[in-house]
Amino acid sequence: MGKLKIKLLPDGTIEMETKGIKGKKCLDYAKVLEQLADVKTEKIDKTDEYYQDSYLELDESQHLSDN
Amino acid sequence: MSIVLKAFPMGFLISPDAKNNKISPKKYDLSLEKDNLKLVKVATNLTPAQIPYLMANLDECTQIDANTYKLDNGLNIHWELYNGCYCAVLSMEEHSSILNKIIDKAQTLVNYSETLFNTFDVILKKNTRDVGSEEIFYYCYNTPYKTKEELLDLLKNNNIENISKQTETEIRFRVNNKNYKYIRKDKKQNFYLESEQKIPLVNILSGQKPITTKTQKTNYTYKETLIKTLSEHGATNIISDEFNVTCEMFGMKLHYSKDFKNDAYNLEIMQITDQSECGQLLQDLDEEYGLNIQDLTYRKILERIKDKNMRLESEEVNDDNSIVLTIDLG
Repeated sequence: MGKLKIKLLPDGTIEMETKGIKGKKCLDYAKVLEQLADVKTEKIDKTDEYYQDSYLELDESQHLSDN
Repeated sequence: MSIVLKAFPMGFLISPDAKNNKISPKKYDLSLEKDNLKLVKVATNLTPAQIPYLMANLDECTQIDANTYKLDNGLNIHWELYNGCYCAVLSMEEHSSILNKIIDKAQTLVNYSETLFNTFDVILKKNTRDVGSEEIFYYCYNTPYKTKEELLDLLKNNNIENISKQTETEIRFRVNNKNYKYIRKDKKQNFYLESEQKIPLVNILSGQKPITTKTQKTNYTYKETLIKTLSEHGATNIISDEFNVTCEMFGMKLHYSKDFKNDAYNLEIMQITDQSECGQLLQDLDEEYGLNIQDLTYRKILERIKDKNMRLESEEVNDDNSIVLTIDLG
């Protein structure tokens, strides 16, 4: 299962990175953080890993439908 | 798959403008609209025990109730607690036969108020006004408006959204840091407009550095964290209510008031003698508030992950005082 790496900065702001969460589910963890810490998300950046995994998902589903 | 995100705790107002807002000298409109002057409010440095002593030493003074007095010249004096100090709210009696003979009623109110405070200074052998604070003048205007709806339309058409109170007889709002209210005594009357004008009380004779007042927006939204921050920074006389926090620090008076538009506190600093000290204080408070929010968020996360079947795998404090929590999602 995945992990959340939460960085609490001394100016009070927060940064979070998700690790090893499959699919677009990782986006749901923005909401989880909002509930955990009473925060509002300012911006979300998808990492290279996000896009790589997205392509992989697409490829896998295409293979399934081809079969 | 992964994402990186940046988030602000609710204890902050998400407004980059608020953080970048530089402190600037307060601008005052010094035009005295004499005909419409209704009340003068003067902040004092008096203690509760000194007020009855002073009033007992005034000639021709009648006590109306616990906090209200009337002088034979028609001047009404009402004492109230405002921003942590006792203020004299001064007005002229509306139906005074003496007043009807006076042509310039507003100037008379100003003159009688000045005389009253000169008398106070003589009795106590010191300056009784709160130097560095502000005298507040209230002006009154007649309007043609008869209903609350008409006024709300008027405010809406003028893009005024900062309305703090609205009843059938009173609407309060704020524009450019000045308080206004439309008010009427009963539903049969037209509303009148009351505006507030603040004029700083500066001790011109002291020969010291000029004492100034400044205003600044903050991005603080949590009252408890703000009070904790002030307290940790050595603030004294911290007084708070639902919308205000006042305190004293390094000889300055700080007044935080909730901005109804965005829920963050606006700060007014009075009695500033050293600009650089004031700037440093604001920077220190920003840092302290941030650290307190960091601590609050840390405790919330550790408490709440248990309910979500998550586990704290590791915790690390970096050299820059940031804390990194690695949470196993189970």
